[in-house]
Formats: sequence, C-alpha cells, structure tokens
Amino acid sequence: MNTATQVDTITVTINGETIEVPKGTRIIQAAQQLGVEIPTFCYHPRMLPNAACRICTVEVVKPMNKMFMACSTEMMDGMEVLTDSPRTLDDRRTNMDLLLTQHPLDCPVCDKGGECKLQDYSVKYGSSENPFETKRKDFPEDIRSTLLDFNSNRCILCGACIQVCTDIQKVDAIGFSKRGFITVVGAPMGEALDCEFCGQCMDVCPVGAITSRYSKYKFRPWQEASHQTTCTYCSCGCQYDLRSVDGEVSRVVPIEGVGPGEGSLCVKGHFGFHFMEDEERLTKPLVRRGDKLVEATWDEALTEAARGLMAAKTSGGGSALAGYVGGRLANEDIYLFSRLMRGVLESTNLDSTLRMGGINGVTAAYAATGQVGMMNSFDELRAADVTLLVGSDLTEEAPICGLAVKDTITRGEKPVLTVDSMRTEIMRLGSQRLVITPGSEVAVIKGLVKAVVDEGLIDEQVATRYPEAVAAIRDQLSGTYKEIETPTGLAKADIIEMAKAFAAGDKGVILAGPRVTGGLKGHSAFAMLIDLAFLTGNLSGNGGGVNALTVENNELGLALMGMAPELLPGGAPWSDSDARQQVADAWQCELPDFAGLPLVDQLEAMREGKIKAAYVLGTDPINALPSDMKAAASFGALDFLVVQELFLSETAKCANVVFPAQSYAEREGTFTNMEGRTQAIVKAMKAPGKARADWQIIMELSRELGGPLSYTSAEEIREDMAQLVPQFATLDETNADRAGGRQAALESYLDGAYVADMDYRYDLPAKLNEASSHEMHLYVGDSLFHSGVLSTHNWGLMKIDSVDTLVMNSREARKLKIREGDKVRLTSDQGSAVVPVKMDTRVQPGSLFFPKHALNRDVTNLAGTTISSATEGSAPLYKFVRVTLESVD
Amino acid sequence: MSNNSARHLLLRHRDVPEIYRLENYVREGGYGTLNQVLGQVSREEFIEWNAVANLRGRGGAGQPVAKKWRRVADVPGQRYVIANGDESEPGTFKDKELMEENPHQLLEGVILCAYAVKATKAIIYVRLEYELAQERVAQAIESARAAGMLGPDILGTGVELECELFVSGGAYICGEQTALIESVEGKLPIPRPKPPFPTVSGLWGRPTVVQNIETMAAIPLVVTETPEGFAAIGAAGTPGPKVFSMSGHVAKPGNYEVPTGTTLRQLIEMAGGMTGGTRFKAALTGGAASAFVTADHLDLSLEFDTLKAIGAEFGTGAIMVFDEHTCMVSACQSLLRFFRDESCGKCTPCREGTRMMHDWLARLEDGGGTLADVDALSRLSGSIPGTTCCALADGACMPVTSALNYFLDEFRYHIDHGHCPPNERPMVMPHDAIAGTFPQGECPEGMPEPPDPLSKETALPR
Repeated sequence: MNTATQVDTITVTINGETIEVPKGTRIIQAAQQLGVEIPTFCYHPRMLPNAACRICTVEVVKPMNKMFMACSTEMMDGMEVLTDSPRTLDDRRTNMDLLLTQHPLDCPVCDKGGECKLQDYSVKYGSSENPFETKRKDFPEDIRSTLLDFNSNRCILCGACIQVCTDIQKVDAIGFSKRGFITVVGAPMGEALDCEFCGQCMDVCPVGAITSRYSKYKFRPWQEASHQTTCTYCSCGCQYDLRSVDGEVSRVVPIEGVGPGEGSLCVKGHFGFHFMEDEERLTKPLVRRGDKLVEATWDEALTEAARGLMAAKTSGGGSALAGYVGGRLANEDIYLFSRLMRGVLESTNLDSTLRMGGINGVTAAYAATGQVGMMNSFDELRAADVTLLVGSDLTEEAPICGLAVKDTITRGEKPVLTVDSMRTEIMRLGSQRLVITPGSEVAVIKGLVKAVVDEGLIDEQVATRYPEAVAAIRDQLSGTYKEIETPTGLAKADIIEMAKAFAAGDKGVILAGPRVTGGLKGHSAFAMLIDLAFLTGNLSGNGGGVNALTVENNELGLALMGMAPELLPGGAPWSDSDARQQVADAWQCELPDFAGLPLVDQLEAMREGKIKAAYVLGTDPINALPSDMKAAASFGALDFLVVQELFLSETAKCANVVFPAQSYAEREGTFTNMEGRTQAIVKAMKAPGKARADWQIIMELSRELGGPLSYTSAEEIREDMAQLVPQFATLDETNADRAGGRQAALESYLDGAYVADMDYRYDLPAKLNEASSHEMHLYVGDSLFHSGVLSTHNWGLMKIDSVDTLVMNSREARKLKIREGDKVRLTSDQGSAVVPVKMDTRVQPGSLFFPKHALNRDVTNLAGTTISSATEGSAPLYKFVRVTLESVD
Repeated sequence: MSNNSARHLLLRHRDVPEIYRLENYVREGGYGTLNQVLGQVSREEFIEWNAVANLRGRGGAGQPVAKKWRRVADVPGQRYVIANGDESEPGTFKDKELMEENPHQLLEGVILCAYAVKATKAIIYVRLEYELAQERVAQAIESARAAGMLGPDILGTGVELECELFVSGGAYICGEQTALIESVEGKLPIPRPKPPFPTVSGLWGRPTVVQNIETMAAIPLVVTETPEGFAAIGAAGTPGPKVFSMSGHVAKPGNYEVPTGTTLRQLIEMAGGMTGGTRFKAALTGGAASAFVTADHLDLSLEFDTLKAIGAEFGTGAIMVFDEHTCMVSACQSLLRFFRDESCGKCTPCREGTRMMHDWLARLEDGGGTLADVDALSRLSGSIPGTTCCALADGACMPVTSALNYFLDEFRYHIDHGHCPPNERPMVMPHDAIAGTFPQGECPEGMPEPPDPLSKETALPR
C-alpha cells in the first residue's frame, strides 16, 4: 500500500512551498491546493486544458528553466515552479497589454463590469499605462439570436465558450470563423444562434462578450442579492445562485462544482426565472360566491375550506374525501399534506402525479432494494463502463443527467446503448442503438433479458450464489424471439448484440425513462430491468445499478412521503402493517387497514357522488389529463373543492376555495432529486400579495379542522420527517451514499416474493400487437424548453419556444409534401386536432411527437386512455396514440 | 533545371527522366529497400540505422528521426504515420518538386517509417494549391498499391500498410503537426497544447509520427547509402543531402541539392549570383520564419547548430536573398503581414502580437512611425517567443529581432525622413512565394494593400 502511494505521488515545489501531489497533477491544480492564485481566462476545471489565452504562464526553474502554461503542464517529480517571478509577471503584463490594446474598454455599459477577469487582472497584472497602440476592432454586435448576444469586440478569443459547447454540452452550436485577429465566435455559416440555449458559453466567458438579453443592463453585480437554491423544473435538482436586484430576479448564475450538475444548467434552470414575477400569479385567497370566485381574507378562506371539507367528512367519513398533489411541492408541504389527509381528515384517497407512471419505478425498486429513486448518483453515471438507456429522451427530459451520460461517451469513450422509439440526441452520440416501434419498450426489455439468459451472459457469481432466482427467470423465457421481433420491429441478432455489449461492461448502469415506467406493463418492464442488472452482476454494489428517471422536480419527495394510496412514508407499501403502525405511532393517530383509491377510481367515485370533497395542491388535473378521463366532470360533481396553486389553473376555476401559494423562490423547504439527494430551497425574494408557503396553508387549515399540526419553520417539519424517514436528516446525500442496506434487501426479496412475482412479469401484453386503422404513432412527451405548464408562465422561455408544434420526420414530411409550418389534421378514434408541423430527424418515419406542456389540449385529448392494472401501477396510459395524419390546405 | 552535375539523391528526376512513373523508379532500383528491411531487419535495428545515419527532420525543427520514433508510445492499437507536404513557408518549394517529380521515393520512405513505428495507416498530406503534386502522389499511391508495395501484405513480407492522400484545407498553420492532425480530423487547424506530443496522442488520439516530405524521401537513402555512408555526407551535425530553395535576388532561383554544410556564398553562386550584379545585403535562411543573416555570415556552414548559434534558423532550407536595394523595414512588414494573416488566432501573444507588430512596421514604412514604435517592436519581438502554443509567433519575431539588430539605422532613417533610404525600394513578398521571385514596388507606393480585415463590410457575414 505504502509503496503504491509512493509510485503514484510526486513531490513538487511552488514558490518555495513543497507539496506532494498525485502523478498527472497539473501546475494549476497543485497551486490551487497550496492556495496560490494563477490567473486564467480559458481554463475551466471541468474541461481539458486548451492553453489558448497564455495568461497562466509560470516559470519552471527545475528540472529545466522555461516558461510553461500552468493549465496544461503536468508536473514532474521534483519540479520547481515560480508563479510570480519577474519573468512571469513580465510575460503576463505583455499579454494583458496586448488584450487591453484591442479591448473596447466599454466597462461602464458592459454587464460583466464588476466581475470581469480582464478588469481584475488588468489591475493586478497590467501596466499602469498601455505602451501599445493600434486600431481597435469595430465589429457590430450580433443581436440576432433570441437570447444570447455576441460582442466580438469584447471577445478575447480564449475559446472557453466553444469548448464548453463541444466538450460539456456536446452540441457544437458555436465555433470560430475566420482566423487570426479577425476571428469571431458564433453559430456556423454566420447564421443567427439557435441552439439549446443552455447559456454555458455565457457562464464561462471571462469577459462580457456573450450576454443574455433577458438580463442585459438590468444589474451591476455588486447590487445583486445572492441566494443558493435548488432548481424547480426537472428532477435533476441543479443548484444555482438566484440573483436579484431590489427583490426582482436579475439572473440565474450556476455555481461551479456544486450540486448534481457541477455547475452546468439547462435552458429552463438558467433562463426560466420569470414565472415567479408573472402577472397572473394568485395574490389573494379566492372563495366561490355563486358562479364567481371572489377575493377573500385568509381567515374567510380557511374557515370556508375547513367547513367544506368537514361537511364531507361528517356525511361520508374519510372515504368521502380525496387529495391530489403534484410533484413540485416541497417535501415539507407534502409531509404535512399527508398528515392532514391521513391523520386529520382520516382519508386514504390520497394520490399524486406519481400515478402517471413514476409509481412503477418506486414500487419495483423498493421491492428489490428497499430504496426509492436512482441507485446510482450522477457521479456513478459518469464512471459507468456501459450505460443502457431505455425509453427516455434524456437530454430533453433531464438535461443535466443527460450531460453525465454524454460524459461517458465522449470523455470516457464508454459504450452507451440506447433503446427508444425516438432518435434521441444520446442515441445519435451513443455506440449502439435500437430504434423500436413506439410503445414496445417492454418487449425489447424482455428480449434483452432473454438474450442474457440464452447467450450465457449471466454473471458467474450470480449464477452460483442465486441458482433458484436465476432458474425462475430462465423458466419465463422459454418462448421464441418471434414475440419480441414482431411488436418491436427489431431483429433477434440486434437484441443479442446489445445484450452482449451490456454484459461486457464491469460497471453497467441502466436508465429507464418515462416510456418504460409509464408505458405498457410499466411495473413489470422496470422489474425486468432490475432482473437484467441482477443477472449481469450489476446489483452487487459494483457501481452499476438500475435507475428510474423521474420527471417532476420533487417526484421522489412524493414517493418518500408515501403520496399514493398503496404507499407509506419511506416507500413501504401500505399493506405493510408494521410500517403502517410505525407511521400511526409517529403521528399519534389511527390509520385504517384498507388502501384508498388511486386517481382514476377517485374520479369515478366523484362522479358517483361517493367522494364529495377534494383538496388539490400544485397540479392541474383538469388540464393535464386527456378529456376521456372526465376530470372536469368529476371535479365538477364534487360538493366542495379546495385548490392550492400559483396560478388560476383550470382545476382552480372549478374550486370553492383557492389558496395562493408561494413559489420555490419565496419560501424555505427541500426538494429531493432523482438521485435521492435532498437539497434546500431558500427565500430569495418576496412573495406576491398575500401568498403563503404551502406548508403554512396546510398547517393553518389543519388548525381550523382541529388538527395537531403546529410548526414554526420548514426546518422544524424536516426534523419531524426525519424521525419517520431517516434520509431527510441529511442534506445533499444521494442513494449511492446509502447503498449499504441494498444487498440485504435484495437477498430477502430473492428469498421471499421473488419467485412468485415472476409468474406474471414476463407475459407480454396483448395490446402490443393490437391492430389499428390509424397508421401513425403519436407520442406526447416532455421537451427541453418546457416543464409542464409551469414553464409556460415564463415569458423568456415562451420567447424561445411558444408555438405548440407537432414534430415529424423530415424525410416523411417531404414525401407527403408537407412543409415546415404547414397545418395538419390528426385524427384518432377519439376525435381530431389541427396543429402546425415542424421537421426533425429526431422523430422516425411513422412517428410523431407533440409536447406535453402544450396549451393546445386538442392533441392530448386524442388519446383513448386505458388504465393499467393495479399490479402495473393503475397508471393512465394516454401518451401513445395511434393517429392518421393529413395535410390541411 | 539541373544546376549541378553531381549525382542527385533526392532530386533524382534530374538524372532520370520521368522517375515519377513506377516502372522507371523500380528500374532504377526503387523500392529495393523494402525487401532489405521489411521483415529482414527488426524495427529496433532499423531505428538504430537511422540513429547512426543521424537523419534529422527537414521540416524545420531538425529533430533526429530515430529519437522521435523511439518516443512513439508503446500502447496497443492503431498508429499513424503522416508525411507533411503542406509546405507553406514562404520561399520554400522543395517538397513541391519532390512530390511532383519523385513521389515514389517519398512513398518508399513512408513505408519504411511506418514499418519502424508499427503504423498500419499512413497519410500523405499535400498542400491545397499543389495540384500537380496531389495528382502525382495519388498516382504513386495507386500504382504502388497495384504493384503490392501497399496493402495487407507488402511484397509478401507480411507487413501491412494503407496509405492515402489528404489534401490540406489551405492555411499556413496546417503545416504545424498538431494543427495538421486537427485538420485531418475535420476540425479547424488550431495547434494543440503539447505535451502530449503526437507520438503519444496524435491523430484520433493515437500515437502518430509526422515527418516532412524531404525527411521521408531521405529515409530510403539511409539504407541505400548505408547508415555510415549517409552520416558521412555533408556536415557531421546535420548529415545528408539537402535541397535548398533559392529565391529572391538571385539570377537563377530554384531548388539546389547539396550536401549539408555548404555555405551561403556557394549556394548563391550556384544560383547564378546576385540579380543584375547587385550587392548582397541579407538573407533569410530558413523560410520566412527565420532570422536575417548578413554578409558577415556568407561563409558560414549551413547546419542546424551553426545557424542556431548565431540566432538564425536552418528551418526548411529556404534561402531568400535580399540585395542592397531592399528596404528592410518593408521586408519586415511584408513578412509580418503574412504571419498576421496566417496566425490561427488561438494564443493571445501571437494573434495580437503579429497584428500589432505589422501595424507598427507599416506605420514606420509609411513614414509616420516614431521611436516609440521601434521600442514597442523591440519589446514585443523579445517577449513573445516561447509564450505560444506553436512556433508561428516565435518565427514571426525572428526577422524583426534580427532586422532591429542589424539594420536599426534603416528604421531610424524612416523615422527621421519619412521614407526609405536612397537607393532602396520597398519590397512586397507575395503570400504564395512559390515562384521564387519577388515583385518590387516603387517608393512610396507599394503593392496595393489588401482590404482592411477590420472593416465592418468584411468582419461579419451579412
């Protein structure tokens, strides 16, 4: 051990101070360890050194005397470096003089003024008077893109923006054109920039050459208040600094090296900061007077809500009440809501947006590992030897998780295998791909497991240690590949090849998106993926694992708080009487031994008059669900409806009482991301009008109802939550850090219910081969620029992407003589819708894509919703629709 | 074209007509070294032959080839060999002639080099404007492949090599080995930080050896002349035959093959002496990216080390001769305009420095300069070398530093009088100085300036 360390470390000296560093350490890294500052423009800790700006020059005095770039030079044993010798300072001064001679020095009107490296270094390293003099650049500013402005005069051509676009974001949206001193940075062929708008080029720019139109001239850095918080859009849970001037958000700034994204942000997190200040925010409680909602005081609204809910309880007991909650609320809100509904109102009819499919990832993972959420952290995704991505357009749905996977491709040169009905970005970058018939994920997954079993790819240790479990899986796979080839449109050989590629990696990571857990037989499909990981030895704590990707930012919080009739806080099933008793003890109440109704049954019970009152928080079922689920009729049939929201949603318009809630930026709390990492949100700005934090509203309502809930802060609630679900005690810890108990959970699962579960798991659903008179497959899903309806309240994001367009394959469109922007009519068995079209090769011929967030609900309403069985999560399946497409003149 | 009567080892076409045809080359014993070396001599031993021959790269840096080949990383997998024919150094046109007229000798060298470093893929990278060279190299590759000198089993020796022609994108910087590799990968030709050197991580991240065309063409000579015989040719420090491209104010510009160690005076004499009997003033010995030498250095033996000792460069062996009527300020300005336009723009000192040095030289030449400009020139040309990623900026500073050193009076004259000294004419070197002669302007008007690259019209598209 000792000798090994000696081989791997070297001793180096910087400015006379000696330090031991690992072999391969570069000068700048060693200097940072010693707290020695070396100036840099183009260097970025997450990118390979480019050594373009040459400002980090240092003098090496041993073993040779020469100037070296600190960013790119790997140190040798015994190396001695001076970072501020006269020669170094001289070179730096020349460099600064050269830059300042051409720089426009328009600092007073430059957004970067005050946090500009060129400014800072010119004070530190420049001359007091510039000895050089020449003509300055006079390029017109490129303001053609929607969001990012390029000022080539300020640009010092360090290339960091291009490198971040190529190496980290991997979209190659910008590059150099021309050469030498007239080089400019911009989109190819001099076109206006139209990209993913992650904005990272702007973040890494050391000067003010790239600026955001949404923030331009709105701030001076020293005027800004700064608050580190957690993003509210997708389930990646990125950390960022929400900056504001006089209580108004000025911009979002990433924090290098912090949080799951390590400093990367996507367009939503970076530029979707306008919804909090949207004029349509609810500012006062509303109560129904006749057919109108009128403003009321909090006391009036709370009393009225309590009266209405209590009336339902008195007439029909707890089962006459229902609760439905969205995945954007903080853990503390969800916890109190659970206690209110289950403990105070004694109702078990409690459901959430997990029902849309996420529930399947939760229950299947809990059964096998005793945990909910991803098994692997993003760090482990980056370190994977092989990645299998099924049923997710990752870079659109969870862009930052997508960056971790992209990292394994281009930096790690590791295989990424994709199975999808869309030709996703990762699929294009990855090494092997299976493009399948939309909706046939479950069949491919079965095929992959079959190939592992048939081709002798089972991990040897697994085979010896768990012969019964392996035999149980093998028994289910005696059929031929025909049943897989027909619905998926794949060839047997391709499936076998992919299974081999997956089995070949030491650390295999599986990622399953919403098209798996929210698809046909979602629970079984995800359980099969767990089998696949089990058989290939990736559940043995080797850094591999199976990961269900969640959609909403706090979807995992819903799961951890047991926000579904079949779940308890912590993720245990409601049927687990011990666990149930534990919750009852903690809450000092009785919990009935029957489970409540899932969403679709709740809706029916509302229409039948069995459920008389409901409380809906942070979600808009009437808008979100397709019309054939009759949500409007169901909520309309209620005696009493309470809605708690940021905006007057479609559901809120039907309510008897509407509570205005505070957004994530206006209150304290925590979100739990897909890695199981709980992170804080903070009060960064003032809430509009009289809006209150969700947990406060629930607590006050509970008080009106005579309940016991009493807290003074979100922190206090979290302490309580941690009693029940210990992982809430620690922030910023992922499931990967809590992997300890997994093995024991797996063993007990394999010994227990496993073999019985098998009987049903591998039967493919008949619906896979269902014929339809409609030729095209439409998928309604998430898109990069939006996240549910929330993001459509951002004028900034709407400026980038506001038109609800159907995406179709470019070649197919050409064949049908349909051009970009043309309108087409989609017809399904349910009805028809007219929408404009855009082209993309991302969609395969025969398929169509429509964004889920769209304000145009006609397309969503084309769905003929079926509900999966209770074992498959009672999920409404409506995202895959068979349609006929015709052009409209 | 033959200027000297001695047997040519590199410019063999001057002795044997149409040696670019395979049959003629083979008839003259060409490709004979393959049977002697491939599978007969171990790779290590063959590298040792080159070490004994002390063959040094002819592209500019003069690195011993054996040293470079030994540094090729010992990792499994693909390796590459690239013959660098992007000859863009002003005044250099030796590779052009070698590729056009004697391509098989080059290819033979490529095969031997690939054998030495276990490469199975080779690329001959030819400058965009060299159309005939591209044609001849392509023909040579094709005919050699048909005759079994390339392919999975070269001449039955079991050695594998595929070779292809790659036509450069057309920029001076493409000749820098890492920029060249970037351009083969389909990217902009921007030099990479080094280390890692291409011998460790080159084309597609694989070990890659890049050698100049003339170097490749000299490799077979190590076998045919024997290593010891090769080492005995010319100067001991830089042995072997060498092609010098003579250009400028000489009567017969062109390529001259001589043993190394020949003096500048001898070469000028071979090239027919000074044009019109004028007096010699200065010369650049290694292309544009080298220092001026003066009449004091006429009898210096031309070798890597002797030139380095006086602050000049052996470089590519391109000798540009300037007569007594040349205005050295304008000569510097011309050179700097070239470097300014050809700087890739990556490193700050090069991108900004070449441009500013050009601007100040232009101001001096136009008579509007001051002593402050000369000070600034002196400071920049002294501090830029060694601070950039590749050698372009170092090369750009050399003519300036040496001109300030030898011809400071001329700079002063411009400042004091506002024009060139009497009897001197401004000189404008064409960017593609492949013809070997300079056009000359009349003072005070020179060649028309190219459009201002900073103007709004040319800056951004639209």
